[in-house]
Amino acid sequence: MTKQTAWYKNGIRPDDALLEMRFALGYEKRGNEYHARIESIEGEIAGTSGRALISIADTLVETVSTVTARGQELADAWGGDAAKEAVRELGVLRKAVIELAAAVGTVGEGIRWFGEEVYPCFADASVGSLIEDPIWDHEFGGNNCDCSLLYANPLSWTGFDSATCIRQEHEYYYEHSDRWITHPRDAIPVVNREDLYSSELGPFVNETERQAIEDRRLDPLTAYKTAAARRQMDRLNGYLEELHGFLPAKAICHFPDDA
Amino acid sequence: MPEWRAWALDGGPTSWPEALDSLEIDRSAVRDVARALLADLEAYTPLRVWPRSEDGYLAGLEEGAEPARLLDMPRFGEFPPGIDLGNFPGGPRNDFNDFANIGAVNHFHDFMVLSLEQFFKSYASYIARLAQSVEEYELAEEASTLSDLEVIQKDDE
Repeated sequence: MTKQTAWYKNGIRPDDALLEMRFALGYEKRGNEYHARIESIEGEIAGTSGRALISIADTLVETVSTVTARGQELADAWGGDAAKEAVRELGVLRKAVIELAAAVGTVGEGIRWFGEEVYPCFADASVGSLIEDPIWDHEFGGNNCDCSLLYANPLSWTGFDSATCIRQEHEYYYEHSDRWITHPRDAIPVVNREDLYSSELGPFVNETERQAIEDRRLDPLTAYKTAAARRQMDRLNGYLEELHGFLPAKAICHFPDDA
Repeated sequence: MPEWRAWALDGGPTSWPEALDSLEIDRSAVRDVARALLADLEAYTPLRVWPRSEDGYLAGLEEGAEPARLLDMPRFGEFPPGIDLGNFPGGPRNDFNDFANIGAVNHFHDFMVLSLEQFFKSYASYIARLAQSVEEYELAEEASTLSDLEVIQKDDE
């Protein structure tokens, strides 16, 4: 008679909600859900748990080598039906320990790999890099500002109407961000929307945001940072899936009965 | 490559001796085998109980004195695929929420604890019976004592 313990790995879902990862308002962690998501992952614990599992597996390996050596000694020292049963039972125990060590070590190695090698790269990385306060290309119409105030052009004697706006600073509010953008128009880098859509970040800008960009309700920096965070999170999800794939599909141990 | 990794790939060693038909027994050799197996089982003791200091408090709570933290499995995040891997937020270390652990790694952890427990019981029971068969009752008693130890005690017990 044996007693069986078993584990079957369950399935894993893709993160379909990644594109819905939103911009979060707030003084700290300002930007998006990326930081919250990273904080909900316990990378350091993964490292120590993985190492603990590996050390358990190593101990089980010791047991297997002890049992293998002693099993031979037992078979040499004792004969008869009772001895055959005793040696056979020790063999069943050894088989179960081999199964357990293989499973524990494999899971431990996967968890350790994630905690020590993958997670730190994501926890420390800053996402999104763009110069502060750029504007979209469609907001920059040369000097064709929609400001209705008249501008006394100090360079009018040159014959060029170089600006139509009386203010060098013009405040914009983007509905989809918490940023009040103050920009001296001529000093601001211009972001081309098509460049963003066709870049590797393009797939990480959702339809709502594209519309908001077209409607001038979402500023470039927020759009870039959100998309970059999603791409980063997508990569991390890839590693999580890799970890899941590395774990054994099942583990079954048949231990001899302890009665 | 560690041996457990090789076993995971190829299934591990299968050859195993068989006892002879002759009815001879070398009692001292069998006793030595039982002793060696018992010593091996005792190596797991740090995994199985939190050491207690003289005043009854868990010595394992002091820094550096802890046995393997079997109960601390990591969380992999609050979103798929992280929640499918392990430890739903508000899992075992959040007392106000006894939401079940739903991830693959949590299930594995339960399996491992159960298997280790069964392993200790089977191993101790086997050693005890082996010792009894050569009339080494003290050795058998010692092995039986080890079969009663739990795999691990939680912090709050």
